[in-house]
Amino acid sequence: MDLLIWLIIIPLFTIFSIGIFNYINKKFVLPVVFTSAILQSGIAIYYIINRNNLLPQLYNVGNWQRDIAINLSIDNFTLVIFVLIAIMPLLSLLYSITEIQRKPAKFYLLINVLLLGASGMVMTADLFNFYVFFEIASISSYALVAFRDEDISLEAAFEYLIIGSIGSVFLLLGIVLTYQATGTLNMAMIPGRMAEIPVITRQVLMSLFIIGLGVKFALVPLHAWMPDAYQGSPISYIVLSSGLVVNVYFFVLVRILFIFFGVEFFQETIFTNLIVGWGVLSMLFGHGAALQQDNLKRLFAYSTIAQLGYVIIAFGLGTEAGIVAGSFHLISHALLKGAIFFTAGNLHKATGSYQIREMKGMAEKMPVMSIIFVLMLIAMVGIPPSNIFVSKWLILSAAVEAGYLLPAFMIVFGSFLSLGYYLRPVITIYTGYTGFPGKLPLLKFNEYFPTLLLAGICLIIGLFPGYILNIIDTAPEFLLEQSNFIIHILGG
Amino acid sequence: MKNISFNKLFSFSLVSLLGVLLLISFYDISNLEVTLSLSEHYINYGVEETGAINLVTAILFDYRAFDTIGEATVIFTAASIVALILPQHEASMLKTEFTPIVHQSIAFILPFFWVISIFLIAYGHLSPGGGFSGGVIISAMSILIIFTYGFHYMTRRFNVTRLSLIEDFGALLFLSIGVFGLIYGGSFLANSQAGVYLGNPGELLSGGLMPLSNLAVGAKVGTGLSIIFISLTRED
Repeated sequence: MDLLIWLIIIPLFTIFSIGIFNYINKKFVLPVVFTSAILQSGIAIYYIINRNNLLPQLYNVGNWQRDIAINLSIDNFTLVIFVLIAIMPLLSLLYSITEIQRKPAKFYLLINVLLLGASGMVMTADLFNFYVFFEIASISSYALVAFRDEDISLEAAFEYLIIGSIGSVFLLLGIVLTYQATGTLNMAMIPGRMAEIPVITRQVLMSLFIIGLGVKFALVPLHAWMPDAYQGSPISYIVLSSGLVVNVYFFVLVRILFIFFGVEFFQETIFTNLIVGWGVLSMLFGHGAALQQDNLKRLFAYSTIAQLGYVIIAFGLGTEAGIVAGSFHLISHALLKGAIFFTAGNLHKATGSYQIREMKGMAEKMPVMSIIFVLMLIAMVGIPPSNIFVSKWLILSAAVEAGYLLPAFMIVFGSFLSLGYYLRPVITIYTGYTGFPGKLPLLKFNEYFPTLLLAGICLIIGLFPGYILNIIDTAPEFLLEQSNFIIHILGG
Repeated sequence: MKNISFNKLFSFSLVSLLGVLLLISFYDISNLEVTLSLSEHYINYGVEETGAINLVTAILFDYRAFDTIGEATVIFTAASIVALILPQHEASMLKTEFTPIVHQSIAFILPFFWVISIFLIAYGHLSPGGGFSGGVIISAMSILIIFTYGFHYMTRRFNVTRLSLIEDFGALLFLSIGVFGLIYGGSFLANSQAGVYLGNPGELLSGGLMPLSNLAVGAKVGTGLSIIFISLTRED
């Protein structure tokens, strides 16, 4: 069954109708939003469960023939993001019920716009259609950063708007030039024609795509917006951004690079070394900058930048093992970082601040949350039986197998570096107890449930990585072999 | 002082370098021999396949209607963001009093604006125009009303809430046209390929569902841009 189009229709319906429901009766908003979120998760889960007999699937919007239609497609690589679409939005919405008190209808509208953009970007096989969904996701991100309407969030949103728009211009330029050079926007028809244009031009196009999308997933010289944006925005948005949307931008860049230019293009030139080196640089920079942060949100923003560095290394290897390892790390980092941000938000309820130094003796006030927080921070470093341990192990063995010994060493070194800043909040939380100033903050169901669920999922993945590996182990087929993707979209 | 000028010089040379590199690659790309198969298909078969003699509308509402619903969502989101983020206690900036001559002539012009916007929307698939341009003219009407008769006159008739509702219904109409294509023709936003009666190209009722899509987008864009302008000039 062609359920994939409903991943577009359902959020669109929610976006357009939420104003009407809000006008009739404010009580209708939450049920509508949650029905739509549950349906979207359900569709993603449906595709994950039935992956063997449904995938790859193609959808021609408007019933046009394949070479002129806008195609939506789901293949095994798409499932990497579908795992996140199945889990993150629902939990993030659940958490937002208590967090967002001001204008909740607008917040849910913007979150649905963000989800629409993410689903569209993942599924589309048309370059300009991708840009439309890219803009949809970007514009709602800018607004969600500013949602708390404080000075710091407005400033961060403005910064993000400027940097993001410059990135969009580069991406649009890349798309326009690709169209001019190849005469088509169909992602499956571009690779064949791309091979005919000169190498220099191909490199220019590739740089434009890397800059345009790199801004969005905070590739290191272009990362400046991320810590500021996270510092000022609501936790529910941060979880969705770091747990889904940032990964979607990275996913699309990987797809564009591998499908348009082909893995041979990288291996013939020095680009493999360049990308792996860039990943190492991202990782070391992220870890180094996180060491100096005193604000939990900023600290974890830099940690996200560093963790994406690992993913860049893994995909940069260009081998099958590398792609599986990178996809696994993408998923496990997203889930664990979501849990960590939820916990940070819960701890914030007791102190009213995200500054680490003001969290002294938190363990006395919120013992359970503190223990979970500590366990997850240790898991983030990569100590077994956490899921990060499995993914780092996979990346390490893939790197060694491909002959990248220095990056492999750097992965271990970076993990030790990260121990430094993850331990700092732990020490602060468990020392310096200064008496009991007030009432214990009672956590509501929708605040601790997402935290515990995500933490539990991370633990299960760490103990039984096979569940996720089964889903993603065929992902490289549609990346390394351009012909698989082309035949899937255009037919034999 | 010396530092600042050095920084400016450095940025200037970086930007110039980027510009030169881009110009070189533009030049390289313009020399490539490309078969523009997509645009040739649109030009050769557009009228026959979609029943619309305005090719831009044929592409916007049939070949690439999926992009259009995305663009409509961008405008929709932008309108609700502007209404959300802008502070509501801005000082008034529209206190200019015009003479009766201006009032009378604007009142005389407004019906013509209305006619031309409806014409552009209704004849979108036949002549240059369409939902987007018609909607922009509708929003130009609200800008004119706010400037001449004042903000309160406008909001007494059309406040943001009511405009948002019209916008919601316009967007939902477009979405339901898409779902109609899904049910009737087997694919989201299917129009001519769904077997909808296309009519004779050049007649008012041709192009399948295109006139209806134009109407939906026109209502949506007109109210969306009006909301953006009202929010920008709002005073409480």
